[in-house]
Amino acid sequence: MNIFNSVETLGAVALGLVIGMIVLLFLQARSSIQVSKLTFPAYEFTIKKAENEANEIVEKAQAQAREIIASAEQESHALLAERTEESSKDYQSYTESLEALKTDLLATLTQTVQDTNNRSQEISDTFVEHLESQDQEMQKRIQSLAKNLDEVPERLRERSGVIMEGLQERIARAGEQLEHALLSTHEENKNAITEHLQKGFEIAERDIEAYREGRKDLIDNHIEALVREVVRVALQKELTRADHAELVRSALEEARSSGVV
Amino acid sequence: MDNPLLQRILLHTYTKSDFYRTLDVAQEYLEHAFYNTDDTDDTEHVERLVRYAESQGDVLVAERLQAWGEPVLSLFTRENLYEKLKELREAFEGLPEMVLYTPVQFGKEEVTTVGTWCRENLDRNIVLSMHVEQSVVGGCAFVWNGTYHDFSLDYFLNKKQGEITHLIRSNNVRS
Repeated sequence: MNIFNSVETLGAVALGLVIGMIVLLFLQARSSIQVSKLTFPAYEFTIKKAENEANEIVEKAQAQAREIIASAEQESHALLAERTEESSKDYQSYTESLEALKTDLLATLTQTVQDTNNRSQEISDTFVEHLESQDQEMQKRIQSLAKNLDEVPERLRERSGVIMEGLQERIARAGEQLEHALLSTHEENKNAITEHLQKGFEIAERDIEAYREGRKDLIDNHIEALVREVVRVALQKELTRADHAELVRSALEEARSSGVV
Repeated sequence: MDNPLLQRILLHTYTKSDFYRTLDVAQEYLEHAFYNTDDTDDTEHVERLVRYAESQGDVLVAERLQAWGEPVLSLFTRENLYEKLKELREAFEGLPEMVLYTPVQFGKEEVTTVGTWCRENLDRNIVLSMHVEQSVVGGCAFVWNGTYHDFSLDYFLNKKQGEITHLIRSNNVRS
């Protein structure tokens, strides 16, 4: 039997591995604690030194900042005084320029008003002259129209006389032409009417004949219907059952001879 | 048709209504005789059956039963009554039929006249289904092989239409 295949041997090997691992972990923790104890004083010294250096740098920076602020305040006061003086000068110059502009505008406006008045006067004068000339022209036209109106009745009389004479002549000619046309067409119309009436009479006679034949056929049909009805009533009333049976037998004979049964 | 019973019946029966009326009365009497009385005598039915039909006021049926006679009625027994009736009805329904329309109601003699003619000229086993229709006066109308035919007065007058018209015109009936 192979000893490596036994359960007890494998269990013993596994237990040995576990114990060895526990020992290794313990040794690792112990060495870490010893290293920490040796390095702590050096660490504190380094931190202290860094704090001192930092405090010195901060004090130097504060002193420099105070110097810069004082210098900036002095320069700003000087600059403010300089700008104030420049502003006073600019204001005075602006006031003077504004006064000059006002004077120029007033002079220009006065001249413009004067020019406008002069132009209005010129336009008014021209318009008055134009109206006067139009009035004179209108009076001349009215006088001319009144003169023409006085001449209208006489002209109308002359013109109407001419028109009436022409109209009478035309009416006379038209009457003559109409009379001639009527005389010439009278015979033609007379012949056409006679022919038309003749045709109408022929058509009417044919229609009457057709109607007569239709009515005669209708009467014939009515007579036949009456005959049938009379025969039917007579047969129903006069025949005995034996006669009916004989007629039925004859009808069946007829059906047989005609090939129905 | 090879039913001897039906052959016997057809000797004196020409219409469907006649057949069914007579058979119904016979069935009614036979049911009474077989199942409602203590009489065990299953013979000599004719005389009693005729009396029964006469008592019902149906002389025609009585005559028909008398005509059918003992050869027909003696075939029915207590055991085979309904079977024989069924066979008889089925055999009768298979016979050729003519539906005949007549102007009046026919009696026994007229039915015999027409029925005899039909059996001699059309089919020896034919049965008639008769109906009254007054409009077919002067002849008759009938349905044969599913087709209606009118051989009444109208048929004969139409056949003579030309002669009638000529007669009317030749007598100057119209103006």
